[in-house]
Amino acid sequence: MKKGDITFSVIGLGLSLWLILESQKFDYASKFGIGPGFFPFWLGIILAAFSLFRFIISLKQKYDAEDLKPRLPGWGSLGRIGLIMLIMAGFALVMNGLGFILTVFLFVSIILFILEGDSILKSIFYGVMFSAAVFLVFRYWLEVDLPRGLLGI
Amino acid sequence: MDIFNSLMQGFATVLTPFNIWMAVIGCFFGTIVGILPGLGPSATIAMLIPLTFGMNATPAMIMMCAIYYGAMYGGSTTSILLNVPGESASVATTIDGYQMARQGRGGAALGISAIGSFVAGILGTIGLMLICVPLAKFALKFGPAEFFSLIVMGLLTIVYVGGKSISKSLMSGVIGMALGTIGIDVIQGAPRFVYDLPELMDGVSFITVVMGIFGIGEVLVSAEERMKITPIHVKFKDLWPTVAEVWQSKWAILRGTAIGFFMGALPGAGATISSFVAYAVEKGVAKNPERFGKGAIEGVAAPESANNACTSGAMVHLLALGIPGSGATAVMLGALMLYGLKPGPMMFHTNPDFVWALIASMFVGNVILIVMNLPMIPFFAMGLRIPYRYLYPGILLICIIGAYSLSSSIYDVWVMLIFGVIGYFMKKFDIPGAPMGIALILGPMLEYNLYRALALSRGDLTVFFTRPISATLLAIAAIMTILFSSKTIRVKRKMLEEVEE
Amino acid sequence: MGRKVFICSLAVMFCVIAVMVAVEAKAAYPDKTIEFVVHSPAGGGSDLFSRAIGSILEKEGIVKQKIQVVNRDGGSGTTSLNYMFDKAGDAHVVMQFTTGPLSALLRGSSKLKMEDITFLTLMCMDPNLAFTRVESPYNDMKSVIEYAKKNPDKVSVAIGTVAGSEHISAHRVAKASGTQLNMVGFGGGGAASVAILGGHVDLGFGNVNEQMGQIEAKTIKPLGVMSPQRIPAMPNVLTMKEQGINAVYVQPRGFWAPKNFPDYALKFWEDAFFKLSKTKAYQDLLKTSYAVDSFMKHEETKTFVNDYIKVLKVDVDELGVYKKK
Repeated sequence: MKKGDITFSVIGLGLSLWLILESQKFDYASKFGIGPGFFPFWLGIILAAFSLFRFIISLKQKYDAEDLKPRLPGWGSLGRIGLIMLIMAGFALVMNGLGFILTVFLFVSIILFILEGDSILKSIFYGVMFSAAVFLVFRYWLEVDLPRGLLGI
Repeated sequence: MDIFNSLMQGFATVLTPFNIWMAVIGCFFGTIVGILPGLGPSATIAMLIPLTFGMNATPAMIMMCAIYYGAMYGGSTTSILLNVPGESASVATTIDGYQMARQGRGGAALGISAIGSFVAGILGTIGLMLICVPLAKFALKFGPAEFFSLIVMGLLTIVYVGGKSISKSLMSGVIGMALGTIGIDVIQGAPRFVYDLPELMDGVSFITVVMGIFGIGEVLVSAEERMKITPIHVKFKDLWPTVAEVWQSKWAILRGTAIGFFMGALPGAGATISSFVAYAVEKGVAKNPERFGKGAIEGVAAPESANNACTSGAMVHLLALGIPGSGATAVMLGALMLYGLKPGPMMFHTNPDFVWALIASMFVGNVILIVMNLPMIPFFAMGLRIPYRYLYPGILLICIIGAYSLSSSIYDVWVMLIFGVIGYFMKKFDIPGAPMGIALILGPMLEYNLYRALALSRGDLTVFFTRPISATLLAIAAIMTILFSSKTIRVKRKMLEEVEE
Repeated sequence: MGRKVFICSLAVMFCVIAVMVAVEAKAAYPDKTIEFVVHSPAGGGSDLFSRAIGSILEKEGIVKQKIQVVNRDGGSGTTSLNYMFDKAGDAHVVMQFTTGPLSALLRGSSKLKMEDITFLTLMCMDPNLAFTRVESPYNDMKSVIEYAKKNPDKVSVAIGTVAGSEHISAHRVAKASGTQLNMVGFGGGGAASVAILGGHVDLGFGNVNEQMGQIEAKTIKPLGVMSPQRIPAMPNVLTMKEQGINAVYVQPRGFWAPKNFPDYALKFWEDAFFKLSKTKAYQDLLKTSYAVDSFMKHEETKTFVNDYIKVLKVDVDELGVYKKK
């Protein structure tokens, strides 16, 4: 736990510093009470206090059993997660151009083919199934306003 | 007897085939949009309003109410099975509900939430019938100072919903509050932390943050390794809760109902806070609170009852005051005006037939919902038998659609993705996400009510202590803090002694 | 033989119908679903108005295509304006405007600018009024102002958002009467109403439509009307001017379209909205929502909005909404 907590409290300290600095841009008080700068400022102070507390406690703490095994998985797993996020980001980027239904097809097929190692036929099959389901439920039945692109779907 | 007669009249109006059919349609649509995250009841009701233009006000309202509480029933489904909260009101349910599902007891969790919702719905409607007007009068006593104190009390639930480390829960909570300050502020209209991004002016939406941290974060943790086909093992007998489990949750359901009903009657407090408070209360009174967070059935029963009882509480507000207490009732209010009805304190006198038919329809609707939902539970619970490799693209898709349909913009999808990554690291470093969620909702309310209270008292800080309701609430909060910290210190001492030995 | 003739004639008939359909489709604008853009989320006043209008247009057969209401809410109106910017030249997009999007235009944070807009029509005006709870000692605006003159900042006013319609109403009253009112933001109409009903705040401003139920139930009482004339629904309530306060505020509702909106489409919609304004269903809608019919066509609407914005800008600047430190 020790290393993780130290990292978190350092991030907390950084955030609190930023909050305090940003809050200076706004009025601290309004006519009779608090202004827009009041809350961010005090949130910054409180966060700083908690972070310092956590930081000191963590420094005193001994390394426990959980510190021996790494908290983050190996590079292979991190790579997989990065890929999933990349594919999702790609989804958000192309969905207005391609239209939602086509994007769903690509999304599912690519995930299954690259990440899960399914055969190309199987990936395409599931891609079609997923996009058909999304089409039926969201476009046809619930009439959710999903983007249409190429082919008007 | 007067109430009884009026209610019977109401039943006579409701129990026509057409009105029942409207209730069934509403319940069905409500359940579906409740299940799908992002599609809330308010948007659905608004979309269906043109469909009801040809009708009378009564069947139209029956359908809208049915959608409203149907969505509350359905909201727990994805939070329990997939860790994706469908509505903000079901975030508290994910804490124990998802743990239950991972232990193969997803059916039991869904069942108890349906039963809890049913009990809460029926009791809440009875409460609505009996004490609607006095309750509404009491709710009016809540000014900004009272709300401030209530929210302070609500914020204490942070320490109950978090994990082992209190300081980390508090840090997560403060960061959540900081997220809540993003956007145009209510005091001067100053754009805080907006950095010229117009989308940020409305702040980050709670549901996108929560779908990211809980839903996407969980998928990323599970997807670290290529999926071997090891779906969660669901035994057939676990598809419904056992009688013993239901009996075990009886007090949780009743307490949740009471909390939800009264908080629903306070405008703006709403379903979300009441579900967190109900959870915290259950954990507080439990004999062995360490079961919570690891799949305690009471941890599902209480918040689910609370958020359903809230719908009745919100109706108190709508019917007795004519002011919407939640997003969905705001839409209903608008619709009522389109039908030429004037919602307000006079409704009970000017349109008694309509009001009593509506109340009767709430009883009918709750029966329809439990009849409709219980048989569906095994199918949903069996869904977890799908191999995870095919399940997780589906979960990601549901999250994307949910975030996108909040306001039809890709911006919300990006926010959700960012919080997905944050949620992954939070999970890896044991930083609890629930405190961040609750603080994100309560933070802005705390700030605005502090500002309003001070502005109205023209800078006098003593209002919080001189007004009786506010003072009582603050006293309760203080007692809760003292009790909790003495308990924690004792536990910590004990642990330290054990370690040193 | 007979069969062949039959098939041939069938084929000819089919061709004729196909050609007719094709011609019909070419000739008749709108040839696909119309988008009605709304700047607020589903369920708000503007959203319900658009949905009601859309359904009347469809039911009366004025527009033969489906009308779909799309909510592009966010950024205090900016998101919807940016959406309209992206839709330049699209003949199938129409957006409702009211004070919200107009203030967003004034703020200048959107890609869309005033000159990019094709105005279609002005439909109606929502009247606003000042009110207080029934237990309050005040019976008209005059007495409120008299008290406020002697006790600056003692009279509290619940407003919604900063520079929203209630804030602007309150500001105009304060400015015209030379008083200082303690304006407290409540973020939304619902919370503001509760604060007034509960006696936590002295004075409120709002839409007549939203307050009518409360007025009839005698929980709140109207103090004065913000419109230039008294409104038919409450003939005994004096206007602000009649009470010696030179303040006026009305909330317009109308429709506009994106840049480069084709002329034939402009004609079509001017005509459609005119027909709409004469239907009984629409007149009923106005009656139930206490709105005042103020139909205007393209050119008039443009002039009206230009003037409206000029006045609005003064208030928005004075309220210091986007002043930077």
